[in-house]
Amino acid sequence: MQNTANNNVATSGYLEIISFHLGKQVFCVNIMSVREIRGWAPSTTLPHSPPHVLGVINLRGSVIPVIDMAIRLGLPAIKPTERSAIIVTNIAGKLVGLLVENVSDMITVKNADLQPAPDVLPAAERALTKAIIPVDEQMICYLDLDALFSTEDELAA
Amino acid sequence: MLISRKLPLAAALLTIMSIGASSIVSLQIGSSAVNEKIVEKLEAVVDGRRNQLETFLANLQQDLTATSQNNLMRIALEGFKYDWGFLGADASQELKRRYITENPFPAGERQKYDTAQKPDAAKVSSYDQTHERYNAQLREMANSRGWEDFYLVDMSGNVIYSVNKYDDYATNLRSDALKDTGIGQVFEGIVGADVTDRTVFSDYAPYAAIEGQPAAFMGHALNSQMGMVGVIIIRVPSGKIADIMSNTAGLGETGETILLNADGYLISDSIRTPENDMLTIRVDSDLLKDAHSSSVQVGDLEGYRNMESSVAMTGVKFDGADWTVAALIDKSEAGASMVMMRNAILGVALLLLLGAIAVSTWFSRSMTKPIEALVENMRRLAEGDTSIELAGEQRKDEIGEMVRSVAVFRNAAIEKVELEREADETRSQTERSRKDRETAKAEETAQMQQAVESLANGLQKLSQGDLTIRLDTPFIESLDRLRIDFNASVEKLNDTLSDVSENVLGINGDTGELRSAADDLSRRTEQQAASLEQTSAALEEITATVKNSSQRADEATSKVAEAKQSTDTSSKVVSQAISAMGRIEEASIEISKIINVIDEIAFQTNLLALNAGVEAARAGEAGKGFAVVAQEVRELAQRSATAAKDIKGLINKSGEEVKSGVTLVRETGDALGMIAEHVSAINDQINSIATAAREQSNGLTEINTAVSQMDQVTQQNAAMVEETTAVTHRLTSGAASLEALVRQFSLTGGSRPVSVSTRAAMPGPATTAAAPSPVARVKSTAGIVRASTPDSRPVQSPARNMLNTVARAFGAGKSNNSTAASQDDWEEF
Repeated sequence: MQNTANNNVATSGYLEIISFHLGKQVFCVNIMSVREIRGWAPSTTLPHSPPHVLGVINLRGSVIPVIDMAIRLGLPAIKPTERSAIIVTNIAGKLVGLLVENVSDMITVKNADLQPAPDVLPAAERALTKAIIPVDEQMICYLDLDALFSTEDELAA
Repeated sequence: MLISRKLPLAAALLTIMSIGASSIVSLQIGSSAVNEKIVEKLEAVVDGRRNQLETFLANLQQDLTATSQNNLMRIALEGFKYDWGFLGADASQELKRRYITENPFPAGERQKYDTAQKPDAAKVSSYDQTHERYNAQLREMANSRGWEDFYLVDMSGNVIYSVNKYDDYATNLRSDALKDTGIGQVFEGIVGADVTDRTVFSDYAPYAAIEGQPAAFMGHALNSQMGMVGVIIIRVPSGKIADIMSNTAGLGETGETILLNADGYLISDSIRTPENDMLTIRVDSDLLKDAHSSSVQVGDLEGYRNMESSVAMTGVKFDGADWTVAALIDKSEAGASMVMMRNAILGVALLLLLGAIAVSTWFSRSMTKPIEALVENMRRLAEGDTSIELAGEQRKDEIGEMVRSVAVFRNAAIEKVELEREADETRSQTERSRKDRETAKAEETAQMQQAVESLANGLQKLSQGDLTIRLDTPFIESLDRLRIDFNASVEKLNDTLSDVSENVLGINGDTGELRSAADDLSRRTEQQAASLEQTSAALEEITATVKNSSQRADEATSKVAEAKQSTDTSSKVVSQAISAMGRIEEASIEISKIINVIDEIAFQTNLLALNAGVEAARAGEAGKGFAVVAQEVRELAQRSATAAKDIKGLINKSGEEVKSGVTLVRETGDALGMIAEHVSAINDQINSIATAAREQSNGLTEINTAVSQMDQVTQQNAAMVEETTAVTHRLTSGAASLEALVRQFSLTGGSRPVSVSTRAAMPGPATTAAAPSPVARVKSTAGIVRASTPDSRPVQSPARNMLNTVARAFGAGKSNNSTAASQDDWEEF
């Protein structure tokens, strides 16, 4: 899948992303890994789950986990409101719900605009941020969902 | 012999006889009573001493018996006996060396040496240890019971312990030296006779161990279960016996009690002699033989202490000893009280004798002295001397009687001389009084003639109107009353006319004052009338003003009522406005809800558009168009969300405005309520103003009435003034005529100014000129008032005052008529 995405980026020269807010910061994910965007609905808490795993929700009959992205990225936890959204993503063939503050936009950027993340973090952490995209006045953090998920696995193991 | 000597002599003789007899009898009775008393006392003392002694000896026996039964004694004896055995053959010499020769204390204090064991000695003696253990205890026991010494003796007669350690210490009682002594006899008496249950006593005898001093001993066996193991012996305490015998209470200065043994030797030291008498002095008397029984023998004793004494004796029996207690007292001391009594009786007798002689002498003197004086006086009276003084007339005895009789003789002689002198005096007095009467008669006739002449003279002057005449020369006594009455009449007439003259002057002055007062009165009445007119005009103006203000107040009341109505209406409008605002608020809330729904729809639409976009992106090239549509939809949704947000803001703002509007309207309502309250307060004030105005109006009407009454009174006053003026005129002319009448008399008391006529002319025209002009309009009424009644005249005028004076001066008979006439019209006078 990662390869496909990379190929996609490489071949087309354009990248479509969905940006969302966490606090004052703006992040984005590749639109191709998004399956659906839903309004906030209360989740069922799982026992002994890590703090960033809020619980599970019912998505048309299939049970998917919901992760608080703010906690996952080391930011202060967000309080879910009616205007919060869950971005349902398909990561390595698994559906995972990401709780974000609100979905702001769908943007098409050039690959050339992607800037690499500064080389100051440890490798595991750095892997979460694929690139920084400056749009207008904002700096959008482009998240690598695969890396996020693989870290999840490691953590789970 | 004179009576004054005989009487005292007889009295003294009688006194000597009676006192001598009674003194001799009392001396004899006293002597035998004293003797009896001494014998009784000696018997009592000797009996008491015997009892004390027996008690003491019995106690001593008991103490010793008790001590012998004390286990400590037996243990101590066994201890000493055991140690004695270790001292070897020369035990006696060894102990004497340790405790007598080497004793650091002198003889008599050796008991204080507790042990001969030296602290640094290499060899330890068990006897010394035992001695140390018991010495203090045994010493204390002997001291506390008064024993002079205490011995522990073993069965073979060795004194193995003694408290005081004299030469008998550590000696055998069966040795030749001690065998026959008291202590040896006691030991033999116990051990030899095997006496275990009582004490054995040996009587006082000289004892060599204490340098031949007498000593008595008492001992008791120490028994164990095995039988007798030893003996304890004490030396009897002679000091204690001496204490008992030395009590000389009740025996005077020479008396004492002594204790004698069977041979008649003293065994207690006499306290009356300095040396020790024990066993050295012997009392030899037949009484001793009889005294061994317990009964008391009384008798005389010669030779003891070189004196003759009365003595009482009785025996003391104790354990083989045969003692006698004797109480004695020197016979000369016993008789001493008799001598004292005799001397006292003789002294008293002498005093009584002297007193009797003195009293009898004084008594006889008091009788003989007045008799001698009386004899002398009687002799002088017989010679014709009546100036004698008689003492003792108050005496109630026979001498008094004699003095009183002599006094009667003396008084009779004095009275006779007095009567002769009085007869001579009466004769010469009668002659003198006859001559005096003749001369007095001639003098009286001359004086009467003179008085008649002078009275005729005075009456003549009076008829000429001269009131200055006075008769100063006094008449004879019987006619002088006439002269004084004449002078008083003239004086009275003179005073009356003087008063009349004075009053006329007063009347003239008063008339002038009356006139000027009338002027003033008319002027003031005029001013008063003018003031009243002005007051009336001012009052009318005030009335008009008050009416006007009353009307204004009414108008104001109606205006206030309208204002109140308006306020009420406004209040209703305010409440309507408040409810309208409420409805606006409700509508705003509804709108808010709808906006929320729109916002929700916009959000959902946005989500849908996003999802569509995602789907389009997945579709790749094929979804391009769809992606555009989705973008459009998203924008629309965002715009509608923004619009909804704006509308929400506006609605919130309008809600707040409505809220503040409601507050303002409510405040307006409150303000209107306050205005309404103020309006009703104003209404009340205006009502009270209107009431006040009405009351003022009423007051003014009353004032108007009062002013018109005042006007009327002023008119009447003017009329009164007119009348007063006319009366003043008539008064003046009356005064002038009175003046003329008075001037006919010449008066004493100087020249009175008579200017009535000149001043009387003036008042008439002045009065008319001063008549006030305002009175003109009330002249008709003034005329009526003037003619009304004579009551309005002053009741007590000075003229009438004067008239009364004259009337009083000219007798009471006429005054009634004249006064009655003058009360009707005094001008006729």
